[in-house]
Amino acid sequence: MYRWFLALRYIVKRPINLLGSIGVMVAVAALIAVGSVFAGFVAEARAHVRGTSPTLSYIDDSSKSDFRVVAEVANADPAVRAIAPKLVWDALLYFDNQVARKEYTRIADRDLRTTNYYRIVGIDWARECQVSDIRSWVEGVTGPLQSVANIERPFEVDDDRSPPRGDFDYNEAGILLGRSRTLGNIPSIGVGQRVRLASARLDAGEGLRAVTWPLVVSGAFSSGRNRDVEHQTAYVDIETLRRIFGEDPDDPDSLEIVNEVSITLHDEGDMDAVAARLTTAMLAAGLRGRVVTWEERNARFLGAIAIERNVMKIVLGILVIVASFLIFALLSVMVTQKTRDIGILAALGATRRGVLTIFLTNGVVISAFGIALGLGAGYLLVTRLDAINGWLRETWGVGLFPTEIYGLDAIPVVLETSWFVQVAVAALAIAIVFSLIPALRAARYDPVRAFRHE
Amino acid sequence: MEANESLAREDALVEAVGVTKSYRIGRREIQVLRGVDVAVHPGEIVALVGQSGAGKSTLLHILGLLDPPTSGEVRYANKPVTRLSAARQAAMRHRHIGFVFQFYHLIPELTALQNVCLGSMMHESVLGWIARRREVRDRARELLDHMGLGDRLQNRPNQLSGGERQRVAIARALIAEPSLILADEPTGNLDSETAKEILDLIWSINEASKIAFLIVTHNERVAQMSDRIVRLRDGAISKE
Repeated sequence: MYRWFLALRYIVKRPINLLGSIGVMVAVAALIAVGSVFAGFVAEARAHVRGTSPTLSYIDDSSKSDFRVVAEVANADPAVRAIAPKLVWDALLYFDNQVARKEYTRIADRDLRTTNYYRIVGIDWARECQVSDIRSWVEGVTGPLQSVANIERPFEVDDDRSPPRGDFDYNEAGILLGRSRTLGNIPSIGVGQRVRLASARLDAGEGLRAVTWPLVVSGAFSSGRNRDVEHQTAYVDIETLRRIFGEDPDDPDSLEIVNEVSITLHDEGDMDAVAARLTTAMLAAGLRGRVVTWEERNARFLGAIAIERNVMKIVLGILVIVASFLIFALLSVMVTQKTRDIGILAALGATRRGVLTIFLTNGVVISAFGIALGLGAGYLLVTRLDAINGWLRETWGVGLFPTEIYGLDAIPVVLETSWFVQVAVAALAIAIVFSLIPALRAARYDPVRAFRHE
Repeated sequence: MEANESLAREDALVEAVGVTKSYRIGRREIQVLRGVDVAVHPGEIVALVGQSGAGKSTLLHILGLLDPPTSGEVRYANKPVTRLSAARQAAMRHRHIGFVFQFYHLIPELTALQNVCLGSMMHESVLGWIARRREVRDRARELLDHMGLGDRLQNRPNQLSGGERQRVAIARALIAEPSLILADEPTGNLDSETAKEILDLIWSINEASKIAFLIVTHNERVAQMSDRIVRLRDGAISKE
């Protein structure tokens, strides 16, 4: 009984113990807050990646596959819900309007994007709408210089809004550009703006050939949080892109070339198994591409985030160790101050184990109190982070987190019970180890030494 | 009465037989006790006197099982206890021995009442303590009241005078109802009037409860009051 009684008395009657609890509290609260914000970022990043990646993708990097063959194999699998062909190519876009281009460059400089590089994605609009959010991305853009004339045919050039053709002598096809990169910010670049696509293609026997192609901006899309897509991607009709690559969609013998096919499933839970199954079936059908899941496709990015998160956990874990040093120091001082008490307790019949328990209990209770406070403080901090951020901005003009840089309305936060448990258990384990050292010193203390100085 | 004669008596409460104690400081060995034979019998008051450094406190600690002898043996009720485990020695200290020190050694975080109760908690489980709490507290109150501290129960040691602290220490030694109290200069830190009060208290306790006392003292008057005197000189018994 004496060990609990004395441990409690020592805790209550020594206000300096509160310092140890506060140290642990700060470390735990920081771990909870940063961990939860990081989890929020990870969730945002995953949602970002997920929002722009179909569940499964058939990818053919080495050659061009015929979509009809891919579709036949994919549709034969009952797990597949919908598929959509894609032809993805890198190109440069040059705006025909010199003034507009200058303005564009100026705006782009401000955004640190001075390149004319675009990832041109050829899509089958009707099919793409079944596998991605692109329809809502286009519908979400309003205004005469930005919205498409007809949502069912977004690549159709509206003659009423198209400027005089001038030296252009062809039947222009439409192109959808990201709102943030062009239309919304620069009034002179809007629907009807002429664009010249420049790229290269490798023709059999002829080698590398430069390709240019006239296009007209037919509308804009806004991908919301997925700003990379909005900045770097431009959509054209897949048949336009096939033409650029020398295929004639009007010729029944021409290939329906694709280098990607988006695949959605009825149930995403078994996507890994379906991907493996489809890859085997594609190979059996003579196709060279393979089917990958959205996670597999973004494995490097998702892996990098996971590593960053783990590194962050280790770095912040050091905070807990530092706080535990405080407990260690407090207990060490206490053991030194309490040598006489240790002697008295031994004289009264205390065992070494009893003495160890007294000091260990002190360290553990001080730490546990700090951990409990830290979990509470961390929770409060995380749930009020936006309010705190707003207050800091209004009062001091400094923000913890500039949401506009990340294209977010609020600081992303995910409260994970498992993270709370991990932090509490790890902090307590570290505290026990650090408390054990002075507690063992107390237990090994020779009681006679306490009286010898007299 | 010679020391060896007392050893021959079979009713010794505690006895040291051929106890030696040496310490090593660097390469030098310091012999503190050189084959000490001493016994304390139930109900008697023995004064242990000698010059500073004679080994009085060391002998007291060895008899109190706080310090093991280098050689020789300590016996309680004729049973050797030197080689008992640390836990069993701790249990023996709790059941049979009380300590009173020159500097009182009360726990500063506890009140007078709690300090006394602590003496009874040592080998009590939490549930056992809950069951006996009231009884122990009543006994502690009674002891403190008997020592004139009935109105100082809730005072902490730093709120008590030297004499009051020593009375609390004596009450703490008594609460576990030991058969022997080892007192190391119990009046050494008190003025003469308070010292006399404490000595009167010790003698009255001895008379009332027949608890044996081994008192380490420099005070010749205290020695003369006791039933027997054991003199230590250079680590050996010179006269008893």
